[in-house]
Amino acid sequence: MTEQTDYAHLGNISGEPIRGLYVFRAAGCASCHTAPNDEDNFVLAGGQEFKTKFGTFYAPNISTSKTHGIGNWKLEDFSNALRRGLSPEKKHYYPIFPYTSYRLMTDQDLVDLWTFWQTLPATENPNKSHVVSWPFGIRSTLTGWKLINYKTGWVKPLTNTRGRYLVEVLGHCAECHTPRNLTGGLKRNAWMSGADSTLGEGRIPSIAPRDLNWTEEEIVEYLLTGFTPEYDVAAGKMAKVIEHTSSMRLGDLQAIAKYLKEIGQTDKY
Amino acid sequence: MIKLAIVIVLSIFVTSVFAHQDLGSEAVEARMQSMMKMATNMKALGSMMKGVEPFTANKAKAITEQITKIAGQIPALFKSNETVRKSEASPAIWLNFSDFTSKARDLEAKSAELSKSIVSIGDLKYAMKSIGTSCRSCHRSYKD
Repeated sequence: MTEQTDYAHLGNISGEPIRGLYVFRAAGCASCHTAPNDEDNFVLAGGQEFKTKFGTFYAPNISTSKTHGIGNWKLEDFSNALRRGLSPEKKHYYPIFPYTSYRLMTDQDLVDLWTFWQTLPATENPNKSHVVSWPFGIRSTLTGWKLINYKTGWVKPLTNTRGRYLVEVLGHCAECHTPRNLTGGLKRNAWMSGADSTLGEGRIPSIAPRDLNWTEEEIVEYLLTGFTPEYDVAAGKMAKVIEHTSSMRLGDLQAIAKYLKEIGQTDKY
Repeated sequence: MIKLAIVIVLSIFVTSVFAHQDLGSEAVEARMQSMMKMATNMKALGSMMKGVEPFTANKAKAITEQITKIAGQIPALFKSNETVRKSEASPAIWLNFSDFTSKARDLEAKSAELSKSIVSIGDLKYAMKSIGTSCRSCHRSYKD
């Protein structure tokens, strides 16, 4: 699981920062990695708190700071982190970082995102240590966690491959909207059927077709404007997500909406 | 004008029905009713924007003025930090009340400005987007 792969091919891919900005938005990096309540989406200072039953996690500084951020990383490090959940020192990241979703990010998107990343500012905000309950505080337990929960295949065998890629990989929607098993892995059989909030009390709603009775057009409208069909407005983390989806291409939002309507039956949470 | 009257009557109906749900706190009921009125008005604008209802500048102006009025009442309505289980107001409101107030004032000012400038569907689309951004900015931090 921790073997080094051959990265020679990544270095041969040409990155484009404007495309990388689009990947940055679609992947929602700023939703978790900006400072709490910071409205600037490009200063990735970290510090947001995520409470889970395994402990409290703090998003790290992933700005280009060489001291506190990832300014010393190489493309291989970036790839290992996003797609394999490994630090440059080959330590496992906690799966609060959604590498189980990003695992299928395309090489081109990865390189574009990396190229865009080089244009982002450094910020010298120190990282805060996670407070993790035993035995999860022992990083090596994550080897076992990955054996159980790091699955490489697609969740849904759909023909709408763009929608599937945007939802299952870049958008990592399941990380909040899918319940977790006893070890904290995503319950694929209850895909998108809602989950406990990572922000304290409350529930993240189900967006499985059984529960989300919006039309595809209404889903697109929500992702574009934040307005529900009843003109309630997106709140909390989802408001931040809408800041990014609102600048995505209409065709991509339609592909996301189509995917959500095609999930099929899933177990209830 | 008849349609506007319907929107206002509907808004009063929705809120009066809601008022009969006893939440155990008048303060919470009042602020929840106010947010529902806001949604009803936004929906009326949205119906015009989507062509479900015919667009008229006067109607859009009147509805936007209603939104301005409700936005102006937000700081007073949320002054009391009473809460009940059904409330979606985040405790962060009362920890950062000046920021919360400033966001409400921003919506009030923006909506007041927009109510003077909507003369076409294009203006209405811009207004919806602008008001929506303001709503999200506040909901992001202050709605659970």
